[in-house]
Amino acid sequence: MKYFYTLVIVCAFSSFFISSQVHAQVGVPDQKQTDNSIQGHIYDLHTGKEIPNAQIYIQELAMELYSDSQGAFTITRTPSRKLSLIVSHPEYLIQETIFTPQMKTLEIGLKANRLELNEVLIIGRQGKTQDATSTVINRMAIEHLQATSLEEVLQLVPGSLVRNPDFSNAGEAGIRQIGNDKLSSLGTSVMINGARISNNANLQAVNTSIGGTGASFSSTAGAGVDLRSINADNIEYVEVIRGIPSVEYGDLNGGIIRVETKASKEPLHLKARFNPTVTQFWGGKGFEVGVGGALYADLDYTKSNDTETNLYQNYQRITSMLQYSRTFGQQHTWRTNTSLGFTYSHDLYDMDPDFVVDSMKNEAKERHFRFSTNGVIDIDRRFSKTLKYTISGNYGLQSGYQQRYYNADITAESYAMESGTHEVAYLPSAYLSRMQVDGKPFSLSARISNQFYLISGTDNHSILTGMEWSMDANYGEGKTFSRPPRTTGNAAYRVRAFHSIPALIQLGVYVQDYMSKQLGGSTLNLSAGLRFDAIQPFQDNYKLHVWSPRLNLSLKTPLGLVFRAGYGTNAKAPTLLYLYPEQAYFDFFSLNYYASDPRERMAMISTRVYDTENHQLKLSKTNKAEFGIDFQWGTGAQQKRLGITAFHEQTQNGYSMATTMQSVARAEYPLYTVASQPEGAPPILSDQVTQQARFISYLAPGNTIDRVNKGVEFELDLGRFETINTQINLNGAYMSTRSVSNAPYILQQNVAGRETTRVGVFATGRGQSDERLVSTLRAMHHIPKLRFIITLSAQTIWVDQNRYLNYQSIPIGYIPLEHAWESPEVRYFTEAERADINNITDPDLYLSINDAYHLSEKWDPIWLFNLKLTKEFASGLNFSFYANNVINHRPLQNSTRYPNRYTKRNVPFFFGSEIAIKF
Amino acid sequence: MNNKITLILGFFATVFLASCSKDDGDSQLQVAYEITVEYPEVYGLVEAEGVSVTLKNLNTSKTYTETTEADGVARFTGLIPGNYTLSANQTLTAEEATALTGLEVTQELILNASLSELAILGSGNTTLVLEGGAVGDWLIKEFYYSGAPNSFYFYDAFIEIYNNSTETLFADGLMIGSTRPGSASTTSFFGFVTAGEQDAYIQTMLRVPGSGEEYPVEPGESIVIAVDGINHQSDPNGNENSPVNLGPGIADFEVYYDVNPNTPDTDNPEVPNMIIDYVTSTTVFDYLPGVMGSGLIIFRSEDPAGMERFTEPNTTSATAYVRVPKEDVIDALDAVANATVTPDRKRLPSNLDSGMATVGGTYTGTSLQRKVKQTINGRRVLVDTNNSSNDFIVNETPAPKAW
Repeated sequence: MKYFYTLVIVCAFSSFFISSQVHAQVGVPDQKQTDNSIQGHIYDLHTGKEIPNAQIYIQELAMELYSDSQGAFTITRTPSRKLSLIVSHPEYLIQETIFTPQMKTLEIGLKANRLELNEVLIIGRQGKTQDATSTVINRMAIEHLQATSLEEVLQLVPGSLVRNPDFSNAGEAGIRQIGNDKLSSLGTSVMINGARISNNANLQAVNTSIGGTGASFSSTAGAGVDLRSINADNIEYVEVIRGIPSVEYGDLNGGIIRVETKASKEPLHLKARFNPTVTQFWGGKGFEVGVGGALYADLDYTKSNDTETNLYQNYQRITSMLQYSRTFGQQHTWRTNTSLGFTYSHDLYDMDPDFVVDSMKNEAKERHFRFSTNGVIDIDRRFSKTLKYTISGNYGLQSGYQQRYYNADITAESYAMESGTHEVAYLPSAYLSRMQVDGKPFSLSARISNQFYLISGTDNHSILTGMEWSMDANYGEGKTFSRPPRTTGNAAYRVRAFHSIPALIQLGVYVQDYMSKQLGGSTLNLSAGLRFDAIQPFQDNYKLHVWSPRLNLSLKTPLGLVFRAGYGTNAKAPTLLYLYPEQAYFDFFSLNYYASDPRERMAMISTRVYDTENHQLKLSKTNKAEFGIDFQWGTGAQQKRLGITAFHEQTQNGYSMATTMQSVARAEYPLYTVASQPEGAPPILSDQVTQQARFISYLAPGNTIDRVNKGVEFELDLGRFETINTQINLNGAYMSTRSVSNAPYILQQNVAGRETTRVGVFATGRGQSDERLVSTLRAMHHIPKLRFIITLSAQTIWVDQNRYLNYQSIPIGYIPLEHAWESPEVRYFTEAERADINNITDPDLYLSINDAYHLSEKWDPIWLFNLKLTKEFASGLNFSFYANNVINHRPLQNSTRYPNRYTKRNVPFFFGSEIAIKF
Repeated sequence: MNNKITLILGFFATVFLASCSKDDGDSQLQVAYEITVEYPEVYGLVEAEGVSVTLKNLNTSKTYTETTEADGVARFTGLIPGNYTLSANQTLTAEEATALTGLEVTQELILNASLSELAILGSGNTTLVLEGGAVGDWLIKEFYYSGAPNSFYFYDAFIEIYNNSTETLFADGLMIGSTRPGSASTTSFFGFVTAGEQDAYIQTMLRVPGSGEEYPVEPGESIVIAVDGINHQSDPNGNENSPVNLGPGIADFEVYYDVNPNTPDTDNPEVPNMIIDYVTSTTVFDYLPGVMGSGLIIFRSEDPAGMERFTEPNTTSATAYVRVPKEDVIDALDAVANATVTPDRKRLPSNLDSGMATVGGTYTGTSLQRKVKQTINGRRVLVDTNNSSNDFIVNETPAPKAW
């Protein structure tokens, strides 16, 4: 509650700060602005037709506007100074226009991004509207890529590797990292039409105390959005924000994938896509609804087999989106965008019916209903120039199913939910275990931002303030089973209902000053923002709040040279699974008496229950710093651009499920003995009961991952060489990812022949580091008259290295099992004691590590060649084809870590084709 | 001058004759030799009749075998002077042995003697004294690992260890080791074997309890070690397809897998438990040799806890295996998944088991059983050539404590 008050104070303070600043500024030249309005008009340079719904972004004022159905827009209260306008529309190439105070009207012609025209953009390009380093991938690029899901679109981000379509595993996002994982995916915010898609309420895990966030069925619990579930065909554009995002965006670590879907009147468009594993159909059409309103509807069906030869392991997806957008008014416009989405996905891992070894089946079905509405209102008041809002909701039905036929040993099982000792029955060795995890995640969020600008001398200030509220809850039935899966000497399985778990509430407030200053012919832009987030502000057992400062600086010199720098902090809230993990249940035999005569048997099991919540949980924070240089030369289609960005991103306290000091405990339970054995009846227990003490350890939520991603991204666009009708582009990145544990590695090793009296504590810093330098050279041969484009890309991995860090066999200390404790104490070894530890006398402490872990892996450079082509026919028919690894170059390369191992590192040869018709 | 010519002619003639008439030339170099063989001191007779004596020329590798006559002498003729190895052996029937020793010998007895180097330069005589005693040791009699037919039940596995000697042996402290389980995969090598190691590397080490003389096993008797000591066929929680009853009276020991404090394994109070000295994985339901077989050894160790452990070479695995020096191994059986498994995927080195044996598949309900060499007064003497390909047959009905 305390933090809620802090929040209120911050809100009040920030508005006071702004208004005081405003009072101080009043009287400066902005008084005359009132009459100073500009009429603008945006049209197609080729056809002359007006372009509605184009976004006009005024860089110095950080303001956005939209053209109306006539292609017109009005900028009121224009300061009398030079302004840069960036006009963008998904079907057109971005246009930058300079506006000077002498101008009263603006006529802006846009070039369509179409195959029959000379200039066409089919690759990702540095975003312009925000100062954050980003890659914008437009519809043409996505179509030429023939992406089947959002996951594949990300191949166009510098430093990414070519991948074949693969739906067999959940798509994990990652930005500026080698090897995406749950943490990178959790830290990557995916936004569709302005609304963050929350996965915070995903609880689809089978047993957090032994499996962490994992599940046998496909699940993204503890991670971010499953990228393969997002269809790419209705995407207007994707912006991947790799740099420091605006303070408007919270609940993230690494970056943002911002997706805007189609929202305009368009003819019916049908697509069919076939490749060896994927079959996909898609249709979409945009309607005009009312004046200035457009409704776009689409439907996608995708089916993918995990391999060409197996029908029983596959993924199916049905997605549909309805998006309505409308711009109201002419002078004080209100642009609104409302979308309703539906996603169904079904991931199946089943066995061929003719091959039933263990009746293994894993299945995950998800249905999501998403609603979002956002708007930009041009209020045009002095302290409220523009009001932006987003309201979104997501209701999901998630069903995870796991089935196994166990032929395990005969055992007895307890289903006690509380600590205690119970007599239980011995159960048959063979049984079918069916487990169901049903989640009903529900998320709501709302964000409102107010924006206005001030002018002080030669400086512009664009002030953004706002607040955000979000809620994530899960109302599912939870985990149920017929008979639980077998446990093998670890925490046991129990049922769990989700609806009793509290909701996750997040409150955020933010303020940002975007300053623009003229320095001679150069422009200096500084965006300085601060965000405050409180997580679970109304719950006292968690103390989670964070300040996130964010800065972006750019200096644009007249010679086309731009210097950029940025620094910022992002913080990601823990998901419900990390806040409210399942309890850990341990079952011990107090009597295990399996006599030959079934009537004489008796099993007593003592259950001990542990609360696994970690109230010391901290927020996972990422500090990002970057510096970049852009250089542009040439004009028009021959414009060339070189961009280089160096970055350093440190994530601290990354979420994990690990054995921590708090999750090692001493369990005590009684051991009964048999006094006598009557014939044909259960044994009679004696009074002799001894207490047995044992170690137990389980996985609990923690912040054990520290990660540094650093590197240099580069992009060289050489533009179009008219003589050969070819555009040449080179991009890539050198990246290094170092991920280590910031907490001691605690490992309970039970060994044969002795009771476990010590639990080993190993040094912190265990982890791994990867390095990769990759470049992708793309030659795009384009013949406008034939409406034909063919792209050849050569991806080269120059450097690919991997090292394991600090894997030690000898612990630094141990936790002794001597007496009962509140929290265990570590007894540290001296160096001399450590030297004496070996795997024969101390097998409970010594950690066996393969010698190869001390060797680094260093691969030789490898080339990969790919081909893509698109041909448009006059009838609206469109044919595309691609072949990854077109020359099937898959050399066997020798591993330096395992010298007798050879690996085919290149993706297998893969091809696909697509037919599209526009009516 | 004439003398010189005569000498030269004579030399040529000698050379000519020598090269033409080989037999004549050799006969001059051949010698006769006598080997006198005697029974051990405690025997009733001194001269050993009917002993097969073999001389082997170390240069030519040619062997000469003669049998001793009533006076205990083996008479060799036509030997080329040189260095020889000498060996003598005699298999006595129980009656003969009883007659000779005066003791109650109930089985055939093998006597032998040898000399590693004997220089025969001319005629002569050498006396050898035969040595003899109890024959045989522990042997793996039967190994059932493949699982019950028409099911996926494999907790009815057992190992039977047989006293193939002439004396009572004590099972106390006898150790059983199993290697990494076999595999049907063509790439499943065992790094220690491919690296040419001659010792056994095991992932499970079990020990028969007892302080030394608690578990006597008569010659021709055996002990059965069950994974679970219950009647698998009739137990309602077992499996009716299981071919075996491993309840009390049949199984002498069971493996109660209490390595983990909260084990899921069951314990039959009527069947004593084996001592588990080492396992690579504690998080399994029970001891499992693997339905595709594994290398199985029986051995003794002075210091089971102090045995060295190693990770498998040329693999990514961190699993530490215990090394059992080849000298300590009493018997070994390399059981593999099926007949297509090639010798390069053996789990035990050839010096311990030069062959491989298989039941041919998984869930066959069949076992590997050692062949019987002969039966003496109802006691079976088992074949042991250190080659499981020859020594074992597939037993359609696994027969713990039976045949």
